[in-house]
Amino acid sequence: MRNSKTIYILIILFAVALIPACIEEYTPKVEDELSDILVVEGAISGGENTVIKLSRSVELSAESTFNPVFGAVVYVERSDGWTSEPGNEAIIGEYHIRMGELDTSLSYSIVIQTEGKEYRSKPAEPIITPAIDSLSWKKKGDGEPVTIHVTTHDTNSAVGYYRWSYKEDWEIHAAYFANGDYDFINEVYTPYLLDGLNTYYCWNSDSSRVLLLGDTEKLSGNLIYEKKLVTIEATHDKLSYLYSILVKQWTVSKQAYQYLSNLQNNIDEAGSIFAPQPSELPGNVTCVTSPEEVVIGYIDVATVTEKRLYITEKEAHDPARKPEQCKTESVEGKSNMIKLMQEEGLVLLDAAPDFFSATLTERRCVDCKYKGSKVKPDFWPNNHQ
Amino acid sequence: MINRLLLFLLFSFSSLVNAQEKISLSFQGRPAAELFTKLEALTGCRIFCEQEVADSLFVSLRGNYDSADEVLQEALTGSEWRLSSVNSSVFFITKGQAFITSLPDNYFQSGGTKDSTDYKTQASSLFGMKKEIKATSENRVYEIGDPAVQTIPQKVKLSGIMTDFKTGEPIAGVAVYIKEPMVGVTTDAFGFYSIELPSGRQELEIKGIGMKDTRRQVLLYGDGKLDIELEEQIYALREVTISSEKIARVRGLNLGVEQLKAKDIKNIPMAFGELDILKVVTALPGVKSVGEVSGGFNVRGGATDQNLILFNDGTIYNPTHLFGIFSAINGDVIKDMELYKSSIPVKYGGRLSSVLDINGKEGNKKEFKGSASLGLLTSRVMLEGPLFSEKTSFVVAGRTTYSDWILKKLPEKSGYSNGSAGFYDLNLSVTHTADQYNSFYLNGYFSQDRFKFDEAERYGYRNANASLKWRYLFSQRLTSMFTAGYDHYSYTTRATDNPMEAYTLDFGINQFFGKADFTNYLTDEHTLEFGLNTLFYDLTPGKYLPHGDESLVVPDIIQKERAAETAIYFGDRWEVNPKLSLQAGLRYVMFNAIGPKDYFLYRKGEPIDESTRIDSASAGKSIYKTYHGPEIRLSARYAFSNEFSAKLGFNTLRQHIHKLSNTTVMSPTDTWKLSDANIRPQTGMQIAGGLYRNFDGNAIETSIEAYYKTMNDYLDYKSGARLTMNHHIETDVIRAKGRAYGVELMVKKTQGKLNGWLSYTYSRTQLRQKDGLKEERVNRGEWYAADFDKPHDIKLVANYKFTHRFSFSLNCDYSTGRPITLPVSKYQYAGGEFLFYTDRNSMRIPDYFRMDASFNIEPSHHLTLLTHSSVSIGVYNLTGRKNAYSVYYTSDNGKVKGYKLAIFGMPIPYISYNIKF
Repeated sequence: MRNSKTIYILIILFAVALIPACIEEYTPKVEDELSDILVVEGAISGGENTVIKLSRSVELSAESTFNPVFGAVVYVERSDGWTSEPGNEAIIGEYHIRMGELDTSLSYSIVIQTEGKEYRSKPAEPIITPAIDSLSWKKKGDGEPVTIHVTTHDTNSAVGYYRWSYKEDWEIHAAYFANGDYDFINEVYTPYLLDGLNTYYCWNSDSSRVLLLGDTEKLSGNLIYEKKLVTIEATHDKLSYLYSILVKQWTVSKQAYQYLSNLQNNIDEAGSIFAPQPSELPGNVTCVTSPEEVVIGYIDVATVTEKRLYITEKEAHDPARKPEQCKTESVEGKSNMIKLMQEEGLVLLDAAPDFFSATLTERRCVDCKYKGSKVKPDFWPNNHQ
Repeated sequence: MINRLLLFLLFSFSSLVNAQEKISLSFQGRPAAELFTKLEALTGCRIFCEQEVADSLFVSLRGNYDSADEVLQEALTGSEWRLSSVNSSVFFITKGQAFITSLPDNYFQSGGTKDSTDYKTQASSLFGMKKEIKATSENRVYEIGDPAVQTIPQKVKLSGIMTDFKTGEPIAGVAVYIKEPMVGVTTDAFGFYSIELPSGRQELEIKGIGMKDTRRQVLLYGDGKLDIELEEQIYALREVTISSEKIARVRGLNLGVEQLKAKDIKNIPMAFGELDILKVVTALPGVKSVGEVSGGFNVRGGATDQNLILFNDGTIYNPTHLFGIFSAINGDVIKDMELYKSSIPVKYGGRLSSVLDINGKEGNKKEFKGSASLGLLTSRVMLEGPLFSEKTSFVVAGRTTYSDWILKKLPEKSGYSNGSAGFYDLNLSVTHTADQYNSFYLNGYFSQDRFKFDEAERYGYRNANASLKWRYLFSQRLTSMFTAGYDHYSYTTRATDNPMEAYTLDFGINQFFGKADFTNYLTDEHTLEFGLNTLFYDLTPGKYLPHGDESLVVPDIIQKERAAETAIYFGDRWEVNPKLSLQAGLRYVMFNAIGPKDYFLYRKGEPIDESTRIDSASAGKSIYKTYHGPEIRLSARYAFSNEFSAKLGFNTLRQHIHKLSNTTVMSPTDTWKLSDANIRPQTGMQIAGGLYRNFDGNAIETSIEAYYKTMNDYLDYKSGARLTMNHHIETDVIRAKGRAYGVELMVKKTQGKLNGWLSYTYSRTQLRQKDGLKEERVNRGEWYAADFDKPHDIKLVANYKFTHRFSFSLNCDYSTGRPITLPVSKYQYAGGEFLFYTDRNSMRIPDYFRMDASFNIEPSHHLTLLTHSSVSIGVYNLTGRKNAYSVYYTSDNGKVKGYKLAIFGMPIPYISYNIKF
């Protein structure tokens, strides 16, 4: 709910005119910190789409929350006794389970075996997720951000609870296309041309970092209309050439929805004056071998649908986006060129044969790896390398 | 009264008037006073009239007259004044009706007052009459009752009204007592007192807060009436305060009562220089607030909804403006307030923890007065005065804010420069004293708050109260009060951010009440209180409606809730002997939930949960659920001496309306819920005891009070509960048991240049959920700290008067940090970082400390000045300590971080200017 947060900001503002109310970073002393609570994330979606992530929680003071559980046995169990093959740990802590399509008349649960303990999710019947009707984007005007919205509906149920996640990819170009690179220490020249060695075309990616949830409880139909998922600042690199977003959608059960929205509320609204106190809801995964053990996470059984959207720089052009400012210097003779490279750290932009004359520039202007990588997404719709 | 006194004077007069000579007069638009003086000089007659005639009547006369009678007849022609005469030599000028100058035979039996001092000195001046009475009243002996009566009773009843000499307002809390034997009473809210005294010569000591101490000598032959006018003590307010508080605190029967007069709270430093009674309440021992911006307060471990806040009999559901920055009641119209923390008088009920009874002032009956105040954020105006005659007076007051400029000043980038916020409140009260038996009081109150961030999001809430009260004196022993009124609270939220989801959310409480309260001063030993209260609730628990044509929001209206709450009560205050008094009361409360109402049924004997729902039921327009039960009020006092007493109390209470909130402070979107088929009433019990000792001639008061309290069916919420627009709220709340205990120590200095109080409180408040699904029980069903559980608490309020005009005030507040729920672990989920919480309220924010100071300049006391202005300059949070309002973790782009929020994290200087005219 936006209400509580905004009201509290207001109160602060009230005080601000005369006195600054202040929010400062603060690490409260928390006794009895806990760590190593098993965290189970994912959904049983059938086909190739079942991905279960296992990790463990860390202490609040820890630098990183990355703490995957590897080497676990993870499989799906059906109410008729059928079990899937154990999942393949393609990436550390991520278990991909291959299975047939979901049978809506049976219920499914996940079974996890790790460190001598067994965990199970509460069996549930599959929910069929409707297709995403559309992904759309809006830009209100120059300088305004681009927002991406999802629209979906479901005629099979009166009230819909949805969860989305997304993966973004975008192409980035360096300011100039350098013809080649010259290694002045080893005196080796590498021509780039268009063979993929270039540092002109790069790609970058990102993915959702919050729980994106929506429901139609208060609406007259099971219709989500242009629900905002992403906001991209007007001059962000993402929109500098070509941008793509792949949105995945799951219908979730009401219980799962409550569990997930509570997680999100706990980190969104905490601390504001009228915010509810944070609280913990039980998930649906329990430890079979020691039932008192707390397990974080909710495993739903639902199919997944997805849709992709592209936005080009031309479509979302913003006059505030200015070309990069680059210093270029022309030089004659190889020794002068090397001298300049050593002294000013410039790199080759263009050169005549045998370096009779050359144009040098800053590295960041010809090397897109400053902002991305050379890993081109396999679905990318152009032939840039 | 005066007229009557004069009547007695008259009988000693011998009529020696030379009525033969012609009287020659020439007056042109001269005050009647001049005429009367002249006439007396010329004819030797005596003319008695009310001061008003002498001042307000102007006469034009010319010619020769036969008698003084003729002159006066002509002078008064056409005016509302009537002439009566005795032997054509003594004249009375009265309003409306002429005097019957012969007395009824039984006149003296009716309880008149007789002045036995020498009439000649009394009558020597005509127009200085009032002055005379005031000047001699302490030395005069008033005879009460008929001296000729056959047998003078051993004990007689004396009653009357205490009024302010200057304004004619009745004065509450004035102590009237005799020293030997020690018998004393205090006046009620209407200035009425009734005391039983041994017959014969007695000296009445009269001490009132802010009033000059005085005495009256009486010779008692039988029951009678003695009205007393008191003079305001202008300079040394505090010196008098103790006198009556000595009675109140040591001699009084009630435990845990805090009484404050508007004058006492004026000098306490406040944020933004606003006189704020709720903030003063939280400076009292045993009262806590969650944080600086919170209108709600907690009394002895009770929740914020367990306080009955009455303003002129009307219930105030949301006592704050701007979400807690200001209190919703204008400090200018307050006469006094009483906070009952423990012994709640039997005439009140309906809330578990406390009653805060705020009495508005009555208008000045003698002249028009006003005041205005300019603050940084708000302005106030108050006017008072007589209406038509001295019998009727009014007070009208208003307050508003001009805070929009602050929002406008914010940089546009902040996104709030389009916001606006504002509030106002209005008060009106009219008092009419028809005669000595009948008085009428009309009160109205309205407050409105609005706020919007931008066009897309608006909030508003309002309180409204209206009541009419009739006070009737059946006799000197039996007084009664009949009150009828209406209370309203509602709020509206509107969001139009996304046109498809645009909505308006409304909530409202309407309540109609009627009360009949009687006090019977039965004998010296027994004072009885009894009455009937009835209250009809009509709640709109939630209306969620689409806003605009595009909105897809389904209109969702939660069925109305209606209920009647009726109580009869009876209480007896029994003065067993001068040392021991007892008070016992019984209040029987019946609550009827009234349909039409559809509700769910849950499996019996199992926790109420969506999983245990079995059926639904539908009630027609009739009572579908009744709860009833007694409330017991007991207290006892034993006075070891006039300076030292011990008290003990026990009471039980019931509450049928509950606030639903999972925030720790009172929020503008909190809803209230009535008990119904699935929500039981809250019940509570409190045992308290205290020792009270005064030192140094009552200049220093000390007290220690201890209490233990339990609460049943206290509503707490489940994890992840949804409290707005929930059609089956019973599945989202839990029924908790509560317990609270504590000790309050207080030292109060009420006399001298330095005055104020220092208090220390140790208290705990804990809750426990025993029902509910086992796996969902808060903290596994163990005791956990309530949100406002702050064990140690030290408060200091001090005022030092350098001179009568300059004073310095200091206010210090220390308390343990409040409990909060903090995460114990973090983890990765859905690409971001999330937090794992365990036990509710198992940790605390850092301790709280604040010091405020102010310097007050009182007006110059030249009475000739047209206006009197006072200035207050102060600093709130002098040390600039960044007191944590909350400590919390939030996520910033997938990374969680800890933060501390301080609301008033640096010294806030203020200045406020008040003007009286």
